[in-house]
Amino acid sequence: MSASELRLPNAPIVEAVLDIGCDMPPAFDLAALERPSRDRFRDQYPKLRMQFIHETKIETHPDATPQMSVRHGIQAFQFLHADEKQLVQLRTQGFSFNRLAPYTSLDDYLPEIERTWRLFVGLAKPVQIRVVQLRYVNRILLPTVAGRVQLTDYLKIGPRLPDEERLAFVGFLNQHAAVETDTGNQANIVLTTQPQENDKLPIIFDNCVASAGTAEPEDWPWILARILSLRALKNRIFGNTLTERCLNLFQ
Amino acid sequence: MNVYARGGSAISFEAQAAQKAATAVVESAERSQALFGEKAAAISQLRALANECAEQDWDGNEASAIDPLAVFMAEGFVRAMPDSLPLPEFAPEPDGSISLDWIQSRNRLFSLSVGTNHRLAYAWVDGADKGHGVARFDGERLPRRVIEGICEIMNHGNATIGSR
Repeated sequence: MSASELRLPNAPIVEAVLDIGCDMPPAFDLAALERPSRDRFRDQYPKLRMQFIHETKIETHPDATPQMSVRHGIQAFQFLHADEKQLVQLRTQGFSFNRLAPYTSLDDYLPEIERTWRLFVGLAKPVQIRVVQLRYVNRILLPTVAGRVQLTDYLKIGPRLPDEERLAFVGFLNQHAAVETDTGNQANIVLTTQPQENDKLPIIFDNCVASAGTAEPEDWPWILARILSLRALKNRIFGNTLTERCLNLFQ
Repeated sequence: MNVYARGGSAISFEAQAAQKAATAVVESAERSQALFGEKAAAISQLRALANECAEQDWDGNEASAIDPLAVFMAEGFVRAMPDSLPLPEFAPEPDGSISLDWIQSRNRLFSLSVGTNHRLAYAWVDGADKGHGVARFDGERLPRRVIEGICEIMNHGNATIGSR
């Protein structure tokens, strides 16, 4: 299925993430970038959230009061749009661009991804790119009848019960990891359920594809080629995971 | 699944829900003696070592306490090891790092140091030959050169395990 065929008016995407994993300089200190990165991202991303590694240590000794110590470390700066639907992350291991629903098309976001990536490169000065990853988290509401849903009506791949008549799904978690033989791109496909909502069974379809390989951080054409290759793969996975009946839910 | 359960950069509630489901599966698998027993025992030894060396000056010679982040990284290394690779012995280092050692004999050994970042310093001795290097561990897959180095020492050169 081509990208154009996948233009769905009510696409079930709740989050799309582009990660670019990098080798950072050996003495890289993310905390030192707080101020300059705030200045660079402020115009489009006025809100800043910090993501911490948090560690609590409790030491007990006989006949002594327990001693507690807490240690923090910054794992990422998250710069958010005012409506918090879009964010850019400066991480200890690279860069991320997240787009939450409503999502339009990757084409619409690529110029902003390039712009913010270049800002990241200027600030963090990564040594080289290691991996490009594209991840789409979808939430699909499957209609139920009398509290049951026939998964095969909606999913081409997925779990099957050993006794369809006397067993009804309460939940499942399905993961497939695969390599695209032509390109070496990797795929991690997860299907899982959430608790039923009225007459709908929510399914989370996490469609994550990645391309490992090294490149210079300034080489945007290389990055773009990887993104487009990954996009084709994730679209094919999407189209080949869901049935026509399921795709019709998004029309 | 293990890698997936560790999470990523997504922030939506749905991404976290899927990660939580995967975490439950991984935790369940790690309670299985058949699936994870040897690694569980190794991680238990590692934690015991960390506990013994959790104070400054644990060696009476002003050594730094084992860094909890180094313990976390070392656990991640053990989890990521291919099952066919022999498990290491652990030793504390004076700078708060942890040494993972594969010892075939006094003259055949491979040792790597796990600290608080993603860089692994390693060294090996094979009879009269020796070498050292630094490799990057992303927390998910062991560096190929480290796997090959361990195989070379422990399998007498019959390195048959590829990197994952």
